[in-house]
Order: sequence, then structure tokens, then C-alpha cells
Amino acid sequence: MALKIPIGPQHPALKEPTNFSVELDGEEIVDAYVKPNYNHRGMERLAEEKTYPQVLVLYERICGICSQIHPQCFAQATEDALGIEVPERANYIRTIMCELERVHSHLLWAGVGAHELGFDTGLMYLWRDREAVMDILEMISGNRVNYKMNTIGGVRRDIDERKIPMLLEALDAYVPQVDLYANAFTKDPTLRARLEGSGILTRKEADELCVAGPTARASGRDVEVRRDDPYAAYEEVDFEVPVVDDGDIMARAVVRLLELYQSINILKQALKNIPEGPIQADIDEIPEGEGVGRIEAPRGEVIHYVRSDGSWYPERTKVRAPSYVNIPALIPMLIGDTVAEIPITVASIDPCWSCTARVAIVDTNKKTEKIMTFEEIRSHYG
Amino acid sequence: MFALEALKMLLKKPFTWKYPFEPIEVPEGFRGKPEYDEENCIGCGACAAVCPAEAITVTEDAKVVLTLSYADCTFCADCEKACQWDAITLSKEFELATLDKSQAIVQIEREKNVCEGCGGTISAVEQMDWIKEEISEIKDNIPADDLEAITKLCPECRRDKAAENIISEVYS
Amino acid sequence: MLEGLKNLCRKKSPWLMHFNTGSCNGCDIEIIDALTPRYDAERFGAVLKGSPRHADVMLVTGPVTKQVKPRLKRVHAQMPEPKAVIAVGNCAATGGVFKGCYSIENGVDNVIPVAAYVHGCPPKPEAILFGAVTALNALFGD
Ligand code: SF4
Ligand code: SF4
Ligand code: SF4
Repeated sequence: MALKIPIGPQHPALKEPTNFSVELDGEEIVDAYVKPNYNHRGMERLAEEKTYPQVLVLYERICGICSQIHPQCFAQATEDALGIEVPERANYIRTIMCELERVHSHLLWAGVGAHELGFDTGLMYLWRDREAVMDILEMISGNRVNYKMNTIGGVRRDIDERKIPMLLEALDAYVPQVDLYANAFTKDPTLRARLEGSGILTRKEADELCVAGPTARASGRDVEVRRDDPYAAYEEVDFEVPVVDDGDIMARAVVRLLELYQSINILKQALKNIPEGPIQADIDEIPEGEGVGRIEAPRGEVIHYVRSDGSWYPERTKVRAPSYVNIPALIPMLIGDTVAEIPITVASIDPCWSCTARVAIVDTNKKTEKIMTFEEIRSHYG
Repeated sequence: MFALEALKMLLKKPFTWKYPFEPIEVPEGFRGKPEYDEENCIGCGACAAVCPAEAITVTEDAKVVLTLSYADCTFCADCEKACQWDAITLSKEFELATLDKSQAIVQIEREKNVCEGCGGTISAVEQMDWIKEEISEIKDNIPADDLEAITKLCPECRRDKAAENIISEVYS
Repeated sequence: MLEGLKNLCRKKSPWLMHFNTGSCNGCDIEIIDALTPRYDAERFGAVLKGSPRHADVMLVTGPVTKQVKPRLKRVHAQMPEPKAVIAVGNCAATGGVFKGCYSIENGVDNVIPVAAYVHGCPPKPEAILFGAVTALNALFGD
């Protein structure tokens, strides 16, 4: 008789409410069940009652970690639907914001990961260095989280030319710090013993579950929206996409750490080449139409869909957050591992429950069906 | 791995800020508590219309009163952007904690023009002054009757009056 | 006399618990930030605890979704007396930008009593420290 242990919704190892239950045989996990809908707020319904600029503010609060990604994706979808051309400078500023957010999000993730391993020194050091990027974000946007930089057709705030040398300097100072963490994660014997070979997601499972972002790239699934379907100014910057084949937790850590270097690289290029010009497009009319925005968020691909009926209010919006496809991947990752690995395995996909639970209730039995629908959207518009 | 880093840090100044014993600086353009400007506000209510969180309510009893509850506000600065008169700005004040959330309000009052027909509200006095200024150029194209009605009657009463006029014209 | 000493201890070393009731994560990150080196809330004896049974003060974020409401009540009931709840962030105070969503309770005080509110969306970590100090002073005397 297998032992069933429920974990959550309120549990010290979880930062957000979710409910797991794992079935155990001795110490080995034989089955896992995830119920992630505790954060369901019903935002898509509310968005139908708000005007486009108000929805930007609302969707910024889908997730406080991706608070540039979601409104930008919504803005992109709306611009697609309304046929608005975004000025070049605005595109660069969006790119800069996206990458700053990736740096802060990956450092945050590494800190949380370290904490889940019981390595609180790492958490403190990582979050200490994260403050520098938070300061940059606050300086550019006026707030540490929920930046409100985007507007339909561009960005609201410009980056002051005089601040650019300072920003470049701050980014240079980051590289040795990232080296330090990369060394710690890949060389330290204790961390390696915990991270290597546990929480494995094979390439086949990754393909079947259509996982996205670093979780996919750590299992050898080479998907990256910034390269495959460039938005904002990603066409004009050079970067590499790190892909690792191992599929274990270490691989996911390595992918994220390598992405940090790439983000710093992209930021430097974007800051140096940022063109002059306006930052907002003029909007004369609101035609009817549909649009889709795709963005590579720190956790994977975000898709926003907007349908306009010609009024100030979007007729229908739809959001698909990356954790939505990544969370089902926890089940193959957990099966075969021990209970002690649960926190770090869950943390390793960097799940964002608040993003996901905004979507309707996830029914584990129906997950394949739902992913299919999104695949259809993707093949249709991609 | 972190032993070296820890040693380095021993030689540096503490990383921790002294707050709350020393005040901190917030950067230029920080979005803190919204503040109204007594002088510039004309009481038009544009800020209330754009607010995504319904944080600003307009009441029109004895005066036109705009109440901004910063317990609802999202500090998005959309109101600041919508106001053409620079009458609302997001200050640098961020230490916002209350024991009672109904205390978390910022208010501004404007005198109002009372409708001669029903005693209701036409608009705030300053807004009417602005409207008069705006229409001064096209004044000659508007019938004098209507011009007077704009300043003396609320929209409902104007509509009633217009309907009365039409009816009396048709049946006379 | 003994009561005064107890209150002093509670004020000097409040044990915190953090409960997310459907927030956007903005406030949660800022709460954890307040414990990291730059802000270091442990200077004031504040420790983040995982279990409600160890906590004096519960920091609640989020507008309280319908799903989480019974859990919030239960966790609150598990805290030992005297206990206090601080609502961090504007969506915990009034629902904030989510006001009008069909599956939320529009603020923590509609479910459990709240001692103090920290306003902001999200409040800066400094503002959270300030709010916690304000609340503790009000609860356990200056
Ligand atoms: S603050 Fe500005 S927008 Fe709001 S009522 Fe006053 S003048 Fe109008
Ligand atoms: S800052 Fe935004 S949420 Fe706050 S009152 Fe102004 S418009 Fe409303
Ligand atoms: S108050 Fe704002 S930042 Fe904080 S959880 Fe709510 S929506 Fe997010």
C-alpha cells in the first residue's frame, strides 16, 4: 500500500499556495499530483471590462516577477490587432527592460534554489547582488516591481542618455559575480551531489509535454522565441542560446547561469546601439481585428491573444504563461526521486503559480488536450 | 566557494542600509503617494476616469470632491499622465502604512456650479471657466441661448429644455 | 509587569509568517527582500517562520481568492494568541487592481481581522519595515 502525502497549499517549502500530493513506496515517489489553482483570480474576465491602457496595468500584475513581460506581450498582441508600428527606440527600451528582468529573475531563481537546498549563504549573496539590478530597474521605471513601462504603441518612459555609461559600468561589475555563482553551482561537490542526476526530464518527455524556456533547453529541446520569432529589437542584437542535453536539475541551473551572461551581453549591445527617436506611436483609430504576441519570458514562452471589436475595450484576451506547460513536467521529474528532492525539483522549473492559476483550473487528466489547443494557436500564428 | 567572498566582505563597509535610522534616497521619477495640486486642479475628473484600480471617486454634494484612496491605488501614474493641468503627481513618499485603511486618502474639493433648473451639478467652477475659454473662439457660431444654457443648466436640464423648444416650435 | 515584559519581547523579536493568498508575487518578493542583506530585517529580531504555530505576526499578501479563503482562516486559527495580521500591499488591503474579479474576496479584512495595512503596489522593502514597526508599536505599546 503506497503512502500518500499531501503537501500544501500552505507549506514552508512553498512560496505560493499550491497543492501537491505524492504517492510513496518507501522513500521513493511513485506518483505525483499537482493542483495549482489556488491563485485563480479571474483576470481575463475582468480585462473585458477595462480599457486597453487599464488592462496593461492589470496584466502587469499577473506576475510580479515578469512584470515587464506580460504587459509587453499584451501590448504586442494589441499592436498586432490594431496594426500599430512601434518606434525603433521603444523597441530597444523594451529589449533592455526584458533583459534586465531576466537577470533579476534568474538571480532570484538561483537564490530560491539555493535556499531550497539549505544553502542560505548562497541565497543571501545572490539576493545581495540582485539589488543592483533592482536599483537599475527602479531608476529607469520608478518602481522596483511593476514597472509600468509599456503602453500600447511604445513605452512610457525614456532612458536618459546620461545614465547609459553608468548602466554599462554596473553591468560590467556583474560578470565576476556571475562567475562566482557559476563556479559555486558547477564545482562545489555538495551542490553537485544534490543537483546532478535528480529531477530528470528526458528529451522525449519534454517534447511530449511541450515544455518551454530553460526547462526545455536543459532537456535538449532547442526552443527560444527571441531567436525563432524575434520581437522588439532582438533581430539587431547577437546572442547565443545555451542548450544542455542532460535534463537534470544541474542542467537547468547551468542553462540559467549561461543565460545570465547572454543577457548581460544583449544589454550592453542594446545600450550602446540604442537609436534616437520617438518612444510612442500615435494611435488614430481602433480597427477590428485579432492579434497574438509571443515573448520569451525568463521561464519560457508567453503568449497573449487579443480580439478587438473596434471599441476601447478588448473583446477577449487570452494569456498563456510558461509555467502552465512546465508544471505538468513536474510529474515525470518527481517520479523515481525521494521526498527530500521535492522542494528543489519544484523550484528547478521556476514555477510561477500566480501566472498559471490565472488560467482556468488545470485538470491534470485533460492537460494534453489543452496543450494541443495552444499548439494549434502557435502553428497558426507562429 | 563563498569563503573568499566572505573574507572580502569582511574588509568592506556593511552592505546593509541603516534605514530606518537614516533616511534613504529614492531615485528621480519614483512613483510614490499621489498628491493633488490645490492651485491647478480644475475638478474635471479625467484622473478618475482613467484609473485602472478605481481608486479615485468623484462626489458632487455641496462641492465637487475628488477622493483618492491610496489603499486602492496601483501607483501606475496613469492619472498623472491623463491630467492636462499637472494637478496630480506621484510624490516620493513611500512610507505608507496605516492602521485603518479608510484613513489612506488624499482629497481635493472644488466649488461647483449649481444648475438653475434642478439644483444639481453642472461642473466645477474652474472647469466651467476653462470651457468658456475654450469656446470663446467659436462663440459667434453658437446661438446666444445655448451659450447661456451651457453655463446655467446641467446636461439633463439642457436636454429637457431643447426638447421643450422643439415641441413648442412644432405645435405652435 | 509580566505582561509588559512579554509585550516588550514580542516587539523586540516578532516572528513572522508569510501567507500568499493569490498575490502577484510582487509583494512576496519584497517581503523576502526585506530579510536579505540590504534591508536585513533580522536586525530587529524578525525571523520568517514556516509554521503558523510559531508565529506572532502574519504577513498576508494578495486579494484572497475563493480557493484560499478557508485555508487562510484555518492558518489564522492555528496561530497562538496574541496574534496580529499585517496586510502587505494594496490588493491585500482592498483588492487593489483586482477589485471586481469574480473569484476574490476584495481584501484580507473581509476574512480575518487585520491590524495594519502597508500600502504600495508593491511597497518598497523599507516601507514594509516601516509598516511592521508601525503595527508593532500600535499593538504592543510604544
Ligand atoms: S487632477 Fe487633473 S485630471 Fe484630476 S480632476 Fe484635477 S485637473 Fe482633472
Ligand atoms: S496612480 Fe494609477 S491607480 Fe493610482 S490613482 Fe493614479 S491612475 Fe489610479
Ligand atoms: S499589492 Fe500589487 S504588487 Fe503586491 S501582490 Fe498585490 S498586485 Fe502584486
